[in-house]
Amino acid sequence: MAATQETVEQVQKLEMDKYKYGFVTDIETEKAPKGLSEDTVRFISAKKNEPEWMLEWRLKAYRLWLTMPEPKWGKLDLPEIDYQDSYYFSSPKSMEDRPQSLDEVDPELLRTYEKLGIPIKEQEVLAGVAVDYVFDSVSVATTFRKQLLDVGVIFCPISEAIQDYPELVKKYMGSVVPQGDNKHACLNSAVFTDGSFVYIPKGVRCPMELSTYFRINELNTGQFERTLIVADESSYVSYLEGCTAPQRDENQLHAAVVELIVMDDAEIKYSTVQNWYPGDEDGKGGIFNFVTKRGICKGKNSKISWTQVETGSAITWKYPSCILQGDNSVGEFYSVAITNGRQQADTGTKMIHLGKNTTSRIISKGISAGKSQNTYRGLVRVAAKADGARNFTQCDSLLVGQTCGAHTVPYIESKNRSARLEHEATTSKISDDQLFYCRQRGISEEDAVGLVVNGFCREVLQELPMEFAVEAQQLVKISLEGSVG
Amino acid sequence: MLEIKNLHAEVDGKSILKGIDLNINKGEVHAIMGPNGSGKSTLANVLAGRDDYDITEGSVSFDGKDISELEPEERAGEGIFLAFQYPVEIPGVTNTTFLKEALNAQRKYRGEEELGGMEFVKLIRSKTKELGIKDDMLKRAVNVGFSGGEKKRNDILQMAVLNPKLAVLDETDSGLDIDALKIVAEGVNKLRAENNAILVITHYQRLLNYIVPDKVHVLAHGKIQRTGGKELALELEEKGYAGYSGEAA
Amino acid sequence: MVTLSSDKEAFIAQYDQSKDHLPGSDIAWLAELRAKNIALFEEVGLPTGKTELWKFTNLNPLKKQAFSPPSLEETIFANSNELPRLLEEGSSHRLVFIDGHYSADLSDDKLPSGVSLQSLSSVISAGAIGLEASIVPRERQEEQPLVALNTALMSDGYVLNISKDVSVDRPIEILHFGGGKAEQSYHNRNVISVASGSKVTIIENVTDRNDNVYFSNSVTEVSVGENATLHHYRVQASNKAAFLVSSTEAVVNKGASYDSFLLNTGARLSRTETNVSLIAENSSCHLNGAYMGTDDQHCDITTRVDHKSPHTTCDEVIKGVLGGKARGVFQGKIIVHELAQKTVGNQSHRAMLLSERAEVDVKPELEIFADDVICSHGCTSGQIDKEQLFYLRSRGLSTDQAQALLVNAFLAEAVDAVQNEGLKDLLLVRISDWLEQNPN
Repeated sequence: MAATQETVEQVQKLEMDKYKYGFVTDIETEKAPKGLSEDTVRFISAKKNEPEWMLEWRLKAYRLWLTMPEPKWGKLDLPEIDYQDSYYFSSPKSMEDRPQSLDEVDPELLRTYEKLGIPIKEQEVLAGVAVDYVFDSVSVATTFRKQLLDVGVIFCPISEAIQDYPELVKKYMGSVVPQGDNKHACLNSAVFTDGSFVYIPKGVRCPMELSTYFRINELNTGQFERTLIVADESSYVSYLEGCTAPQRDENQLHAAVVELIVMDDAEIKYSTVQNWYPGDEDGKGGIFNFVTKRGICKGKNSKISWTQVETGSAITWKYPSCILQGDNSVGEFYSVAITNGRQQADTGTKMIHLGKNTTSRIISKGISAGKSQNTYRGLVRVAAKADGARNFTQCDSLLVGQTCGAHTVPYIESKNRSARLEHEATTSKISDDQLFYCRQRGISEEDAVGLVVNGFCREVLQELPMEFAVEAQQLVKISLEGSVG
Repeated sequence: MLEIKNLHAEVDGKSILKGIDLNINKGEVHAIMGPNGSGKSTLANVLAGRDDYDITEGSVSFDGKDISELEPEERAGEGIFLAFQYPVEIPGVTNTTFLKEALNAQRKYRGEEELGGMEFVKLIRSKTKELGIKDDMLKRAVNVGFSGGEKKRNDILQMAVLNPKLAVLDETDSGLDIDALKIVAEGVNKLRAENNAILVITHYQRLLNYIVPDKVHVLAHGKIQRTGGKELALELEEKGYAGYSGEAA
Repeated sequence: MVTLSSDKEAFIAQYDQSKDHLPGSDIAWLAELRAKNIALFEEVGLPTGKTELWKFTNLNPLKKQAFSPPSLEETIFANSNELPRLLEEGSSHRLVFIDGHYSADLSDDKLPSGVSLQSLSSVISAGAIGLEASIVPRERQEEQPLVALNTALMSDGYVLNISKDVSVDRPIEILHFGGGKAEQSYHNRNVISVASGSKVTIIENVTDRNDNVYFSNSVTEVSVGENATLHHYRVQASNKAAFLVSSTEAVVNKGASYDSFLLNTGARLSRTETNVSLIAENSSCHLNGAYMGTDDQHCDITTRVDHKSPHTTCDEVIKGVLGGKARGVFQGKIIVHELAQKTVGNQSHRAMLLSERAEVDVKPELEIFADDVICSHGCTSGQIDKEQLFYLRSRGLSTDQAQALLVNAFLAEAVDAVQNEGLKDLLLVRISDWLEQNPN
């Protein structure tokens, strides 16, 4: 998609500070008592006015969570997490009675999103993008809902979907990421507070991009959102999520779960621009981003495409995955992960080939700078019955500076002889010759690094919806500021 | 315009240039010829300010300004352009993006207004037309998958767009067949003007058949050994560098 | 019938029973070392599926089998000509181990000057002088419980020293001839030390004389001195009931090179682990190999290369062919430490699956802490190219012939890395023979 490049030329450069999303919104909130217990789970469920089955589901997860060990296999230096030192529910007071229209939303919240560059006004946001705004534990607004419903597309906060579409939620929630999948997903199952729900009916091509913008604001508060997207037969949707948080000295926990279900001939394109606060240069503060994302290509000829640009968070632990169950289904994973300062990222994907003639493609670009550690971890598994499965994997790592680390840990398992698997990985440093060439043409060293790295990531960035590609390119550049010289 | 006085320089601690004096005025084309290892490419890199090329003695001034302490991008902003012996590949970055970034960075350095999208497109179109370069080259990543000739032509296109005061061509002829050489030379000649100067660094005389120099200098053992007119190049072609160098040229 | 097993407790019991008879039980440091290692083994236990380094290799079949320590009675062979050899007589110096024991009678008695070879048991009975420095605990010993088990139970092996600036004229062929008695386990410990400026080729021939089940758990410590070159080749063709576990740890000094090749066709379960530390500038290693598996064979090749110094180089090319229900495992880790700038590390693993039930599991890994490096790995897995197969058949070859030709060509490429021409020819013959016997 050459459009990406043209967009760069059309859209004016955004002036950004190093982390321009670091501000705090001063707003009156209502919180659950600090700490985690069955009471916390009951409190959240009651706040959301949930039916009994939902509470039971949560409690089951909570009890299971108590028994589960922390996943320790990532190449991460994980501090002990004190689960009792955090709030699990925080909502702006003004959200007590859910505003009936966008005009009723608290002006302070409106100002916050304006400052973040994504105003909650349908006429002002990028045309053709519907947005669900999640602020700490609640969805504060969702745009274009009516227009979407007119064509049968459901796009609403998951807390409302539990009330309004219980059958769909019951059927699919936990069907791709079971409660006990891992400790973080289990915690989410117990205490998730909001997130987005999307249902695209048969034969519908969603008329606009759907997007959720996650904002953590409150101190010592974790965010546990849950996203569920179901694409029925022959439907299509492109969904994008963005995330930011204030600059704080304390670490905050973000443990999300995303489940995608794709039926025959349908496709979900899921993009993430993750820019949680990464902590300062010395590694103080920042978000712990522990996310379980998984999709299932249930139907034949179905397709899931994950694209992620991960630049934020102190620690990133996420592996958006595809279970390729339907024959001829396709899974894709395009990833850019940039770490700088003391950031740590352990990210990658799993492609599980179960159906015949299933295809997967993995393109991962890792960039390490500063004193950071960046790991690609991936699994390609071909089951015995997956005749004709194909995988192509390319993992490239780029090192900027001498004090960072870049690691590649792929697992490749094939039980089928007709499967063709190819995996390539390279690691190298940013080339002095390239930098000199750029500088000789007048481009400053820092801009040259941005340019070369953006070029390195291009294969992935061009997979993003055009509206977000430009911002992602700026983000790539900004994330590396201070890494040279 | 360019004034080099008693220039000594070393690379990785090894002394290469041992007292170069050279003056180039506006509108002039100079050629520096010399055997392998004479320091030709070192001179080009020292002028462009490459890391690890250290000036140990002497001075380099450009338009009356001492440039020896300037960063490579600042020298580019001052108007020095280096056409590389081996142009570098930058995967994923299109020529258009690269040229725009470079041009606007230089304009910014000079305190000029940056060019907007439309103006830039107009400029670049006029240059590709002038040089007979196909527009699809602009959409390709910088030098990636280019043939040797294409890379050199791409450098000439950059030169045309950036419009430097002084262009230093570092063995631009190396690896080019005669047709590619002609095209490159033609491009360079189109850029010759009263206000700018060109320094051609080459081992062989043949490029000078197409880019006719005003002066020819022979560089050997880190020093300019002889200076003359274009006929000096022909003499070198005939007799070789035997008189200037202990090593086979 | 008593059901025996070789779980952790069985090995510990074996140690308890035999510790007073193991060689060097009267040497304090050695007895202490054994005790420490059995304690470590007891703590860590046998690797399980949860042990990351053993993720793909399950030792359960081993655990279901009981093994006793090797008996000391030697099988008598009339002369060494009855024993298999890889290289033609006269073109190598041969040393012979029967069921884990060194046999002086069957080994060539004359070694060139500058080459010293002793059995581990004789070194120990002579007071174990100089041995202490050669069997120091490894880094990450807690990750290698089978090395600890070997240290606790080692009874024989070889200690080979090549003096300074010696170019050994002919390869040294070491025959490990097992299977004499059923259900024995051998824990051999070997030390290879090549002094600076020397050159030597060592070829280990791991085979046996029947279908007896046995468990060989060998450990080899290698040091390659400055500017020395060691070609270390290994041909493993044990019977399909044997369990072969080996761990080689090589330390490579300045300007030195460790060059290894493994051809593996044997064993029910084999795990061949090679760890190389490139500790000084311009040291290099080549870890190449080819493996073939059929029936329910399991072949695991695990390598780890630590680049600890600048300007170090490693390359690895490994190819495997799997038929039947065989499973191939390749784990290859390249670690570039912070100081090791200008490192070049390249690795490739290619597997071909011939049957419907064959499986391959691969984990190539790069762990990089220095920026000025060029590292890569590439892995492919697939079946024979159908286009190529059809092309050959259209030229008159039968499917079997065409397949054999293509597989042969695929594997032959890996064998190209072997520097010894005699051995290279032999390996190619082994490959052809294997394909003939296993048309799949």
